[in-house]
Amino acid sequence: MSEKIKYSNLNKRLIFGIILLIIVVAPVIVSVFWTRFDPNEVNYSEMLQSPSFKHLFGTDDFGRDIYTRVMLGAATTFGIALFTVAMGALVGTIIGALTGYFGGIVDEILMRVNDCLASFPSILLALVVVSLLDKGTWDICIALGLVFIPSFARIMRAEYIKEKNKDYVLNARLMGASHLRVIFIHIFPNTLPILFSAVLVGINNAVLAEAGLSYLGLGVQPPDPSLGRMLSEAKTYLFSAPWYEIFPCLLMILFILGLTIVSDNFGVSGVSLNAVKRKIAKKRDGLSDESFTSDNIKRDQTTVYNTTEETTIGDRTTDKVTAGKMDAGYEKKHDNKSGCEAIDKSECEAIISVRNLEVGFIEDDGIDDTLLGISFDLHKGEILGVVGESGSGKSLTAMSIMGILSDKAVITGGSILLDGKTDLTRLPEDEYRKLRGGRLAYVFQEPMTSLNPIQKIGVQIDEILDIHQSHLKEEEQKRLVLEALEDTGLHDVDKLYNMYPYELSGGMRQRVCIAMALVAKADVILADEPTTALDANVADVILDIFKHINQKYGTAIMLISHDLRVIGKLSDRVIIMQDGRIVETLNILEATDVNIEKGIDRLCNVGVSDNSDSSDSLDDPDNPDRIDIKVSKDKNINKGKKKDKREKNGTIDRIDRSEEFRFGTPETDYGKKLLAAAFSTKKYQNTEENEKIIEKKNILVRAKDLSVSYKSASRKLKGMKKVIDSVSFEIPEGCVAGFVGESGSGKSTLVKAIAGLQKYVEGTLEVKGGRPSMVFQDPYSSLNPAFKVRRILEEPLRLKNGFGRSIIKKNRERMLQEIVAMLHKTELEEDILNRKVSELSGGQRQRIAIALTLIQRKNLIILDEPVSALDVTIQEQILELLMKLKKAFGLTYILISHDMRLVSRVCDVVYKIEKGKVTPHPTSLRSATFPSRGRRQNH
Amino acid sequence: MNYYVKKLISFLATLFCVALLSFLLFQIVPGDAALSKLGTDATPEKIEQLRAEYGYDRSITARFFSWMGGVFTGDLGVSIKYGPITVSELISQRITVTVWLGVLSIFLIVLFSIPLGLICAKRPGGIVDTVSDWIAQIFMAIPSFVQGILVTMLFGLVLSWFVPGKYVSPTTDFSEFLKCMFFPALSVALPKIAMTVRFMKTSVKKELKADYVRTAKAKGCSKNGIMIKHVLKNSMLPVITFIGLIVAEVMAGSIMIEKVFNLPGLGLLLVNSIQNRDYNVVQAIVMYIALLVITVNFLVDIIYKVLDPRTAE
Repeated sequence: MSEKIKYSNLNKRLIFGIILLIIVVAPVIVSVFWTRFDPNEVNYSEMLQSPSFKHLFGTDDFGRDIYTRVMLGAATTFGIALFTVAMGALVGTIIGALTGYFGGIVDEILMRVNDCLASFPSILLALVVVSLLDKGTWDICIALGLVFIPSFARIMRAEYIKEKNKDYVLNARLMGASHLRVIFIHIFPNTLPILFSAVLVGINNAVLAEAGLSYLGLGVQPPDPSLGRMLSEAKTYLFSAPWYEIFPCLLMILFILGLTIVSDNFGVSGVSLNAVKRKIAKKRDGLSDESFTSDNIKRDQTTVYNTTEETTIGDRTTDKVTAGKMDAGYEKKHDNKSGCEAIDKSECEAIISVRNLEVGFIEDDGIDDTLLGISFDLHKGEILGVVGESGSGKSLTAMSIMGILSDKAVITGGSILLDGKTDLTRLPEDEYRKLRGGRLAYVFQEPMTSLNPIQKIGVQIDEILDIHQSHLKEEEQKRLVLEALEDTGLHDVDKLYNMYPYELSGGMRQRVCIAMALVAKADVILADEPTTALDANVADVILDIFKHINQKYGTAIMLISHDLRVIGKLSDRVIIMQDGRIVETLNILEATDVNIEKGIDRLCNVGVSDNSDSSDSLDDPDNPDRIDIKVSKDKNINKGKKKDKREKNGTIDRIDRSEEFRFGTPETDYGKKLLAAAFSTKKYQNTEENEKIIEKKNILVRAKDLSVSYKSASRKLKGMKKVIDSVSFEIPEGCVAGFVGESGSGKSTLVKAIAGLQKYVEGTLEVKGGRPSMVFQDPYSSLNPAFKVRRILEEPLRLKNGFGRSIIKKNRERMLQEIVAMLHKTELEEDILNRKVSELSGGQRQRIAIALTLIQRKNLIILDEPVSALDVTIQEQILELLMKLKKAFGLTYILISHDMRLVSRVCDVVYKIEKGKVTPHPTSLRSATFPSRGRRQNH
Repeated sequence: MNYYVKKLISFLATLFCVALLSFLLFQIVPGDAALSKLGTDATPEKIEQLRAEYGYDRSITARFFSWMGGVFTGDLGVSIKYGPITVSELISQRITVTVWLGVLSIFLIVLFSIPLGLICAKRPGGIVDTVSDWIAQIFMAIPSFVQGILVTMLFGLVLSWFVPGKYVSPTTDFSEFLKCMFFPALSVALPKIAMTVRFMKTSVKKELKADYVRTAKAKGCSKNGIMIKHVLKNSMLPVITFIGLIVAEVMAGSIMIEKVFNLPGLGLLLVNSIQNRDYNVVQAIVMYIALLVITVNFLVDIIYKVLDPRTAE
């Protein structure tokens, strides 16, 4: 959209709350220093007078000025509330922080006591404590303060338990921060938002509790005023002098109201989503006539695909693109397909046509345009892959088609046509609803959360039939549900029907989700990263199911993935997206002979250009056998036969380049870059250097019969559980040592042991040069979110030089210089220093994590899945950077990963971890004990 | 181990701890009941005699065990103020009122807050949401005894729907008794309804963002269908826990409200006994109120388990 829609992001409620609080509190503060009347001066001649200029709020039964008494009473009440909450928060935070962080027996006992205290109503406890103490104002403060401690302790304990397992805490410990420093300097700032709202709620409760105590005659003693006392004194005069009751009550209500409004709206955006959406809808309606004609369609994108846009939508013919842009030398996959004889235009009908679709997110400072006008067709019976990095808009596209955008997202322009006629973006909700689950189906990324956790599987699938085919009899419905479940390859469907999602594995749940798409025989399935959350072997099976469905029912499938490998396995065409645009469309090619010849040509070229060590490559291009296997496999898929599992597993460790050729040759730079990154075979091992390192035999880490145990968490299994079981290995200085294993294999325990953070370690473990530093998998959690980048990077220096105020001041400049130097080494700019981690991209964060390890100046760095949370192209950049730094600083890396491909490209030594055992991995370029000089000599 | 057995054991353990705490709390009393009964001009001999009579001269552990024994046998000593009446008798007379007040309040809380919370969350920013939010905030800002007074004024004096101060014992006429209890229960419930509606709203809003709701939407489920078939039950789960938590607050509220409506329940007895320094009674009431709270929480745990099949065995 050219013109920005303007709206206000001011949260009016927050401002209202603040003003209310000021209005209430300001006169109270003034009264503390100056009042017109003595609050306790008795004047029987002016008893129970109604409000007047002299007595703004009237007078009470002793002729005292109510305004003065209300204000001073409020001062007492608010004072008591502030004191008690301060006391409760301070003591509660300390108790909660220590027990939550350390856990153990003290924590158990204190929490038991806390549970018991929670069963006494707080006012009851306060009552008893006051009655046991005395009835002075201080006694009330102490009684209420004591009563508030348990709730603060409980809240803070929960926060500390949540925070203490985050990577940034581990990181701080690795840097050498003491436990107390971690608790109060690192974790505490992250608990502030929760503490803040707990304090506000606490003040509210304290004010009410004071009133309650006063009513029972145990509060502030006469003649001194407090709001609670006045309220209870005034109740006898409710009819004769209502102002006596009303004014203290009003002040109290306004004060608490102000507090609640502030705490509710603090940090909440004031943008009214509905209002903005209405505005956009109105604007779109104004434009509607134009956007339906093809002349208006922008052609500013460099897509291969925009030829399609020339077809007028009102009178849809066909899609000419594919034919036009097809590389004549390559055979088309469409030829094999029954549903869509591609070249024959008339039969290649688009079921979904997206035209110039624009979607934006409603943010505080305006609409953040995320999809910038994309156009494509999804044909009947095809599998269309959509690939792109995070934030490129792939899921947003699918959700727009389905009409299930999140509240903040809104379609700002363009259209989505179903069957070339119905514009889904303007379809009334009721009619749209009939399409969802009926003709359109969606499979989500997260099978673990996508199902209703407390509803039976069968009921959840059946619901679709209830909605869309309610005319069917119950038995018929059940039969269809069971059929759909069977179609996804599930067994025992009768039993499954009555099971709950939590009883199923991730793969099974994803099949259930697919069954939902099948049960009403949808024409289109939008599969949004359907395998990303699953283990590799399960993912393959799920992909096979999609293929099977596509062939059996001719269902059009739009497959979204960040992973080109997944896309390549299934799709007929691929759309590459970047930053909300379609960069280009590729056709997936058959692995025919022509294809292979071309591929080999290309491989040789690529091999020479980007890999100096290509003859060492595992996927030896001169070995024709491998590609032959590939060909037969692909043919098998096309015939609908099941893949041979063994065959797949056999090639899993190898770098499979034939997959890459199937994408053809991208025309755009981004497409090339993406493909290159996804199928990169660049190797980082430097053989000559390694020879030297190995000959020196300077061992940095040596483990002999190392066992690491955990204290068993469950009480049934008393004693220790061995996670690492007497393992031995050596890591020479200057190399990259890889540890490969699945989740739960003991990888992270081993790493923690090497880092010196494990308690129960037996055997010998020598680590030269002290504690290593570490780069974590998730750069979102390994850097303290409460700190700015500069403060994060200063921490190791502070720990080294001491953190007294004067020392920090003295060192400020020097620290800054050192930090900036390291930032430059990690290819970051200085202006990043004053930003918070949450404002940075994943790649930037990981660079900061690397800079942080460099500042610690350790020569051993543990890399725990350092790139697996990043986008493919970023992964390559970070790898490149890490290797450059290794050379520059003479570092030694320990790389932990589940990704065999990555390990084989980077590591000099590879160990496999399995069920606590460590063995040298056969694919290691040199086996761990270096008996031979590696495979290179064999060639 | 079976979930229910586990819960039962933890229930009994908490009971014991609560009894222990109730006992210990009263060991920090400066001066004892004997002193307060006899006044400041009592002779040392007389005090000694009365202390021996009440058993204050024994060691703490001995007193604890005899007290705990009393908890089980129902012999919690005699009330110092009310003379020969034993504490157990006194409490058994009064507990019915408090229990019914609590039960009715919780019933009212559930009855009003769940549908209101759903409606508010369905159309955030709508009329129902805005109005009920303001009302809720105001109710939460008024001390419970003031609300009791307001209810008395409005329904008792202005509308004359009930006679303020009237109390019929449940043994004479049970339906009349319930009628007398309704408005006090309403006064106890009002601020809690406000809290629960807000909590329910937050819970529903959170559930509406869950992935399974997106799935339901993708199935073609209507807005109402999603609310009733999927969100309601899921969002109820935290609310059930929340109601378990506010049971203690309901009890606290009933202490105040019993005084406002002059109902002969535990709360009123407690307040009077505190003023009389009748610690035998106070101690027993504190324990009984905690006991009620724990029992309700135990029931809440069981309801939770029935509703949520995932709860760990």
